[in-house]
Amino acid sequence: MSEGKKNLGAVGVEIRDLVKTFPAYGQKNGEVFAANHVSLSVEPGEMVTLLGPSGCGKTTLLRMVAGFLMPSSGEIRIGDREVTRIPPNKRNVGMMFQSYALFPHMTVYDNVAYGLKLKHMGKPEIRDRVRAILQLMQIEEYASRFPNEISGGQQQRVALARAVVTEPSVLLFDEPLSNLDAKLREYMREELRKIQKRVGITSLYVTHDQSDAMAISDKVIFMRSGTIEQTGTAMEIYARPRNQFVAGFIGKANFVRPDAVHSVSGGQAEITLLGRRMTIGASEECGSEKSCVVMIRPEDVKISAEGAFRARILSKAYFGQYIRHSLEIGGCEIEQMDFTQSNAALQEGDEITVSFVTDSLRLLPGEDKMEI
Amino acid sequence: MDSTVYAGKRRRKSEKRREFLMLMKQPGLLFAILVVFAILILFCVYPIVRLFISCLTDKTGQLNLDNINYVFTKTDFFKAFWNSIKLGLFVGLMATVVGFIYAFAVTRTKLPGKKFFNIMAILPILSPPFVISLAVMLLFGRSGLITKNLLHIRGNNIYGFTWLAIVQILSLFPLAYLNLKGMLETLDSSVENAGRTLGASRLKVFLTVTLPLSLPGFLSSFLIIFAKSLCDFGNPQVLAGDYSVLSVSAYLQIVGLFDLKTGSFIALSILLPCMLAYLIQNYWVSKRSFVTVTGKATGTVELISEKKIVIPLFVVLLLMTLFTLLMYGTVVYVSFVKTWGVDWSMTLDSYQFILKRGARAMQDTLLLSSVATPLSALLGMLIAFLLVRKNFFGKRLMSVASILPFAVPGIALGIGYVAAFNTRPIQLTGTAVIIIVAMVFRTLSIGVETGSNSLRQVDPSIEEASIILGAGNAKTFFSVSLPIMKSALFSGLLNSFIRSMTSVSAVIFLVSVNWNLLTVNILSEIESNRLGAASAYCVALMVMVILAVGVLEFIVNGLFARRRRSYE
Repeated sequence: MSEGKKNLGAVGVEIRDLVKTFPAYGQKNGEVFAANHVSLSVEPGEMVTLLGPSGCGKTTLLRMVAGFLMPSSGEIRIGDREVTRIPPNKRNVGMMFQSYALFPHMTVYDNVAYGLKLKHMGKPEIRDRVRAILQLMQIEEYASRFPNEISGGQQQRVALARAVVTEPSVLLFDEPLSNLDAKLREYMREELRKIQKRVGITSLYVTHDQSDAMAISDKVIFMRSGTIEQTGTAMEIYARPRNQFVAGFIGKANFVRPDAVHSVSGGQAEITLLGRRMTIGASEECGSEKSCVVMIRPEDVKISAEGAFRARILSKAYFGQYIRHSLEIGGCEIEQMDFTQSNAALQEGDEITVSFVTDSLRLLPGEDKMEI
Repeated sequence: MDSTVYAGKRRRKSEKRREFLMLMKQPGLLFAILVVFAILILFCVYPIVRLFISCLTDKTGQLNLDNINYVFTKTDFFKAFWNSIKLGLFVGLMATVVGFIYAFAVTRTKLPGKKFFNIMAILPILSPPFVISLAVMLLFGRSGLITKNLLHIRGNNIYGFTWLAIVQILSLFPLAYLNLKGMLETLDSSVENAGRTLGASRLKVFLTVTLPLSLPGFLSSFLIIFAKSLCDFGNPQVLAGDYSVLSVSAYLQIVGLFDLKTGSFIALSILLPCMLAYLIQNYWVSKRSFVTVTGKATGTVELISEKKIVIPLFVVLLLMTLFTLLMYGTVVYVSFVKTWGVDWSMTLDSYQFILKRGARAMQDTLLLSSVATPLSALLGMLIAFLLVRKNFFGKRLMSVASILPFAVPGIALGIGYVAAFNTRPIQLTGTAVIIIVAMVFRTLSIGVETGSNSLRQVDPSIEEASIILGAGNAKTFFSVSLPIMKSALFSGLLNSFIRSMTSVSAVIFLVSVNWNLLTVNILSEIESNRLGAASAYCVALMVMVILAVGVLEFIVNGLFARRRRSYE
């Protein structure tokens, strides 16, 4: 396969008004919505991430697409085929499991060949295909090993090879990286993305790790309590989160209650923050009557002599690429990340002045309590 | 609120319908479920129901309680009932205590020879039920080696409560031992370690931590053994004497007085306390267990090595073991002796006798057990697979039905089979089929249990991986689940085989002129006081079981060996 080849046969996934309820624990006839009228679409060849805290319904959604769970109502289409009532083995989807789920009693080769054998392919063809995919994954030398005889990263590749070798129309990922240590994890997700792009397969990827989501996806779908909170590219969601919850989940953020909100219109808000009047971006859902907060990303707080806000350093910690300061500004505790390294001499207790990158501040509907 | 509840109901209803539709699209799965249900209802539920019906009706099929009235007023039913209960309570308690001592010694101390003690403790489960009774007769009976020849006691009476209880404790404590050993091994030992670090002495930790945490295991062992003691037929038949118990009464009513109805009713009356014990055990005690399986290796217990604890335990275990060995040794020895108590010269007479008289029975036993075992294990694994991995209507019923033939007393099951299958349309009495079927369903729950346990430990996504790659349910079961369940399959097969080979009560009414079984022969030899022949039968049976272990291991390993090929 050549680099960057677009899979012309790729099809999209369409989910319409999907509902899945489970009986609520301890309540007769009560129910919990794991998916509450969810609609979404994945374009052909696209890699879409379902991101959200645990229990938000993302895995349930994935398992409904796979066919392991029956939706309570709604419709799932893969390409132009309605698959809602089709059992998983007839859907032609591939899946990578959190635990890899390699067959422990089969060699790497047999694991990968399993799906092809089920398609009643001829032996020579199976051999060629398996060899090609093992080559692509750089694990051909382990073909005759058993899963417990290879490393975690290699098992990961086998699982991916097994999932894509049958050329499924959709590839589903159920937190496949969560068992890897941090270093390997970062490496593997690059690999995953490369291979996904090369094969050009439509993919749906479930994770609760925001960096996974940001690193590999074309589109991020943020879920919470069975509903979609926000859809967009990683950048859009990071820069313009819909509310405080999303902002806090994706990346770090300080939330400060403004002194006053004067007007909100057309995505702009006129506010007074820490005693100063300013115009910042605002979420559409922010009315002036709502209790709103201002999102300040730690990297948007700049230490400078011309800064308009007086601050005191409560504590500092050194992280290599950046220094993290905990600042007290006008009675609020605000976290700051300094990537410049030019303020290394500052000490706890020092009085400084800071400014905000006002273009990046954003007025958001607030949460009563954060649950992260 | 009401409207959302209503919507929830309606949604769940439509979900049920969708699940049903999904099932309809998997004809293989649906077929398997329906077939399993049909089989279970026919062979597990129906015979018991028939047993009830035959007790409550007269010959014309009318409801008639005279029969019950007769049992209550004209037989020694109540005496037998209380005798059975008393025996069960005592044996349950003592066997559990002995089992706990064993289990504690093996899991919590630095006892020398643990492996040996472990094997010796399991031995009574593997052997025919009569071996210990027989040995007791040979050693302590009227012309017993110890009583008559060593102690010169004339006419020692071993028939009655005392020796029956001793024999039952010896043969049933392994169940408590295995149960409590499993529990002590999985009990999060860090709790005990925590007790120690907080400054408690060993005794204090034992009394305040280990013992209270063991209580559910204790109770469940007690209940299981209580039920087993009640259902036991072989030992009381040999040793009870005047101490009448229910299982023997039922047997005597049928065999001695040809009164099937009275026998049925007495057999059913064992069922009640037995089922009660099983139900309490299954649905109440097991939920109160403190055992937590996290899949994470928790700290190991610091094994007790103090001499003042280990030595007494060692002595107790050693004495128990020596006693057990003495029992088995006696039986083996007797099988080679000319006439026990009279002529001690060595001879193969007993073996010649059983070869002449019992060759058929041995062949039949081996053949029928060999046919029944794989059927039972495979059906058990299939049911385990359905119960653990699939969702369908009537799951609970399937689970209960599969346990039923194991939970009911063997004697009741046997009578039920006779009642259910001796007339058209399903006339099986006198055939090999009825014995095989009884063996299959009597041992079914072993396969279901071991299969379920091992499946629960296997990540379900391994099967999902197979399905999503395009395999159907049957393909997944045979090429993924079953090979993974290999060791469970092996122990299931082994267990079923041993149970089939050594079963007495369930099959005693099912044997016929055409098909006879070894255990039934042993019983009749004991009754005719041909103890040498009985011993030789026992030895033959034990040898067959040991050989079967080897053969089974070979077959299962060969069948599902992990194959590594080169792919050039």
